[in-house]
Amino acid sequence: MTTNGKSIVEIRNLRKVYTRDRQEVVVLDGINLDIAEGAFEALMGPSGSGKSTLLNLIAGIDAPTAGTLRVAGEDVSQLSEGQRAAWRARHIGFIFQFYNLLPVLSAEENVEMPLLLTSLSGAERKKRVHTALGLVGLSDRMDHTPKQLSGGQQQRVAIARALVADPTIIVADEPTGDLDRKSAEEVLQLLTTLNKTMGKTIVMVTHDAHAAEAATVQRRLDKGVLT
Amino acid sequence: MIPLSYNIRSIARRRFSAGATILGLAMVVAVFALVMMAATGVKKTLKGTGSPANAIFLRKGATSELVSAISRDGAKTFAADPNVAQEGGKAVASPELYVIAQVDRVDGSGPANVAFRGFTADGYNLLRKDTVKVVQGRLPREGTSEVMIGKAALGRYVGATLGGSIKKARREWPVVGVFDADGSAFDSEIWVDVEQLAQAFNRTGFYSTMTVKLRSPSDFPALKAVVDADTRFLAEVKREDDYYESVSGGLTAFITILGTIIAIFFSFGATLGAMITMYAQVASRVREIGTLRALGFRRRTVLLSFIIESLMLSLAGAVVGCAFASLFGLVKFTMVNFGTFTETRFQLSFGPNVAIGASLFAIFMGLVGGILPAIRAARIPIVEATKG
Repeated sequence: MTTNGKSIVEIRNLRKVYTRDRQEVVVLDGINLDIAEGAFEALMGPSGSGKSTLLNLIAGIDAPTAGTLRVAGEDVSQLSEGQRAAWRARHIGFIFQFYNLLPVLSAEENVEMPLLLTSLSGAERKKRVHTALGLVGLSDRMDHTPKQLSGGQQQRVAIARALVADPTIIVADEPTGDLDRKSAEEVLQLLTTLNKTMGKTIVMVTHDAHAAEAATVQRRLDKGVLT
Repeated sequence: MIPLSYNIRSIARRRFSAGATILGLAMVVAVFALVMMAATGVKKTLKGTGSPANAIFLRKGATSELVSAISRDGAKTFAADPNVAQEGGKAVASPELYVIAQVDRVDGSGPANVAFRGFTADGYNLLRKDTVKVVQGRLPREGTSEVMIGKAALGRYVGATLGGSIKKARREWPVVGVFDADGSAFDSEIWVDVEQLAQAFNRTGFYSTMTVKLRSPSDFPALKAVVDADTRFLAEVKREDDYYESVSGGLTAFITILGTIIAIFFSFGATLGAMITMYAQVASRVREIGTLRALGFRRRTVLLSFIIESLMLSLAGAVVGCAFASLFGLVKFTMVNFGTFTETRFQLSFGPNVAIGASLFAIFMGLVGGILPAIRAARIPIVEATKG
């Protein structure tokens, strides 16, 4: 997918400092970054480089220490806790390394979760869930609980959950980190398809160079600085 | 809103700890329900003894029949009042003598205070016949020591069987009948001709009380005005149901207070159990909570979801506890009625008020036990939680 040049993520002088045992640890130091709408970007870097922190900030589940962070037209750093929750529901689709499905719910119910935060009717929600599960090739596994699915299948359910509410950005934190090679390939293929055919903006954190190749842009973070 | 199916299945997933918690809550609910059932039973028995269509004459200031005395002249005068119903030219009035005497229990556990009620044939036929029904044998004859006993007293005391004979006051009291007073306090009494009772216990010259049927329930204020204005007989009149309810007040309060204190002590344990279970639920579902929050569910939604889950546990406890308590709905127990100091038989009574009261108590335990774990769940930082 080619981008239209319009930035969906605009980061200026972003700093994130944690305090551990009264010691300040600078995780991100003066990050400037623009991510274009429709891009598929990979954030790479060694452990502790700050790539997951940057992803969490973009996704609005963490707050910056300083700097501005505009995502999907909103200055996320200025939003209250409650406003950020509503903003995430509207704009962000999450894919986690360990899938993070609710173990007591079926694949169908897991995918429906983000839609419970919308005003869609039950019938509309069902339709969307079935479409999303169809897209990831799991129409025949809708009633299965996560325990009854393989790791690759669980991650595909998680991808269906990430895209079902049609978010502005999909953020993926090591989406292939817990998968075997074959399943990892399938997941990357799926993300590429989402980006190319549906125009979804995807920001993926990975330490796997092979996984990063699926992205159209690769960026490296080292000691809290983009290189 | 997080779907309730998520909570129900999460409880089912940890069925052992959830089951133990529900059982603990159920035990407390059962104790609480049984207390309410006992209090309701006492109230029902004593209140059921009286009717709003009747009025009872007592000595001024007397709080029970036991300490009341109405002179025979006074009884005669008030029975003739126009506010008292008449039937076949006779006043519908039952002057009664109330005496308590110790009678040995059949189980060998020593003597019990038993109420003997002296009645007149007219009083029974005109006023008591419909509520105090002879179900076995016959009515005692006037001028004899024959007695009839209430069904709750039947077989409890030495000689208290149909055809048996009770020894008291240097007399034999042959039992010729058994009556059913529909679960009221009369059921625990022994009834005998008033004159025989007065002679045997040396209480001649007065009755304890006189119960009359009002011409109409609305005539009570008029009758009361007459009695209050009459200074000759030092009497007062009360509505019969109000009188019996006031007699039950002390006993009901005693059962309720004692039972509630016990239930509250138990509830500390059950609430703590619910709290521990809910803390364990939160601790084992940190990643799930983080994920829900990341997806956009607000803190208050997570808080509410865990409170609802705790309430589900407590309501399950309420259902099990009430079901258990309701099994005791047919159990009868005997207690000393503080109003009369006699043994009175009560039946535990399970009704909607008990179910609602016990459920509210369970909800309270669920809320108290669930609130802190729910707050913890709502405060879990998303970033750490999603990594579990």
